[in-house]
Amino acid sequence: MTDRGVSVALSYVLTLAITTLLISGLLFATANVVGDRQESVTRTELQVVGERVSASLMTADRLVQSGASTVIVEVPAPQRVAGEGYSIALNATGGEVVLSTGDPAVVVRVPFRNETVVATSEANGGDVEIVFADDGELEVRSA
Amino acid sequence: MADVGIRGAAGSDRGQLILVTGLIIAVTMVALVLLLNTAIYTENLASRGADQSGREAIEYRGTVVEGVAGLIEAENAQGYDDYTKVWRSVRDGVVQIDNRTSRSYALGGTVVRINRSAMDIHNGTAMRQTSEQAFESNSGDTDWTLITGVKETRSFSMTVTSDNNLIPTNETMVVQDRAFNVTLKDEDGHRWQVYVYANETSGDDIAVAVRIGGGSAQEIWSDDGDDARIDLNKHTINDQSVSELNWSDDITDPHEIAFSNGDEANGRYNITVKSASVEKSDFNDVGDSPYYVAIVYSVDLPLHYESPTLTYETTVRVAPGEPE
Repeated sequence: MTDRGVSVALSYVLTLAITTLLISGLLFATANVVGDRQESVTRTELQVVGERVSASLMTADRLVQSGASTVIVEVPAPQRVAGEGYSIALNATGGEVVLSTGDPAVVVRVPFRNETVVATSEANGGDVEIVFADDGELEVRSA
Repeated sequence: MADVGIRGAAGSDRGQLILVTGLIIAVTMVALVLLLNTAIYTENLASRGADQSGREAIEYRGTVVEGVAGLIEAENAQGYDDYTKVWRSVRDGVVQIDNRTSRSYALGGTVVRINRSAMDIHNGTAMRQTSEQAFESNSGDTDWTLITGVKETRSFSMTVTSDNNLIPTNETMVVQDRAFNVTLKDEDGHRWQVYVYANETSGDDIAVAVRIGGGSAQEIWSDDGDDARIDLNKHTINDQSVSELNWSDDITDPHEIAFSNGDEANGRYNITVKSASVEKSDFNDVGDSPYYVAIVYSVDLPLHYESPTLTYETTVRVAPGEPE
């Protein structure tokens, strides 16, 4: 007697619809959380790698200034950042190391100070080396 | 009762959507965990110390420079009169230093090397008169050339005493003809001379004049004292700065050094130059004034330093006794 005037089909549809709404909302939020985390982790990792490259660049700069004919500094770096490949570039005019990934598109810039001329150059993510090249400029190369 | 399931048994397969959702969320969480794993790795990477090998490379360079400088000073103090002997002693010493540093750095996993085949050892000469006597050669020549082909001068100090030997005059022509002087002449024929005499008019016991090329001698300093300590490298007389003593504007390297009228003055001198073309027959044995010592003037060392994280090559010039 408690279910007079209740349509079975309507109950069915209502239950499904509400459940689906709730569930999709939940999944959407979870996916967002993971996406956010990924971007934040990517940014942090690129920052760390960038600081290492910058520090090695400044070490190489100091060695060249103290009178060296050849300097090669190895910088160990992870192959992928948060599952994404990335690239390391030196921006001579801006005096910064630029690291970028494709998807999600994250760009991190780490500044450096130099006395030796730096050549604008680029290398893929992974172990790289800072080389004082024959043309008298510092550049980054894949190790 | 609500009839959601197809089979309709009471409650046994309700909520399959919720189960599926739970599974999907669980899988997503696993992906999140993998992501956070890389974050942990990054934090670990960030906590590693900054690369020290730059400092170690500079330390190696400093070690070699200090060792070779001490070696050169020790060998020069031996008082060789043969350039080949002192050259060879220094070279053998550098080989020893290289062997020892290579071994001790290899224990730490670093390869260091002095490139011996590209090493350059430059001979030099130290000419000295340590007892007070006339500025003559060992056989009594009063006008004589001490050394030719001088490319660099490390020290050039003379002490001339104001005794009766100095020519008393103030006339330019007498100074130029008869006073004791040191002549520097380069390969283009330019001449620069410094004269020492006693100034008759002012009554000063000792005076110094400079003559450039064919001009006339100009008095630049005089004093009523016991001696004049002339330093042609620091451009001082008795520790006073005298800018007219700067001969490098007028004389180019290589040049030669000669004394004239050496019997008209008494004193001592200590001259160290980069040249091996000394007139050996004009000097006595080491210790017997005037004498010369065959020395090593400077050494150019190509260095190589290689560690797992750094490759460093440079050429250092070791010249003990030179200001930085």
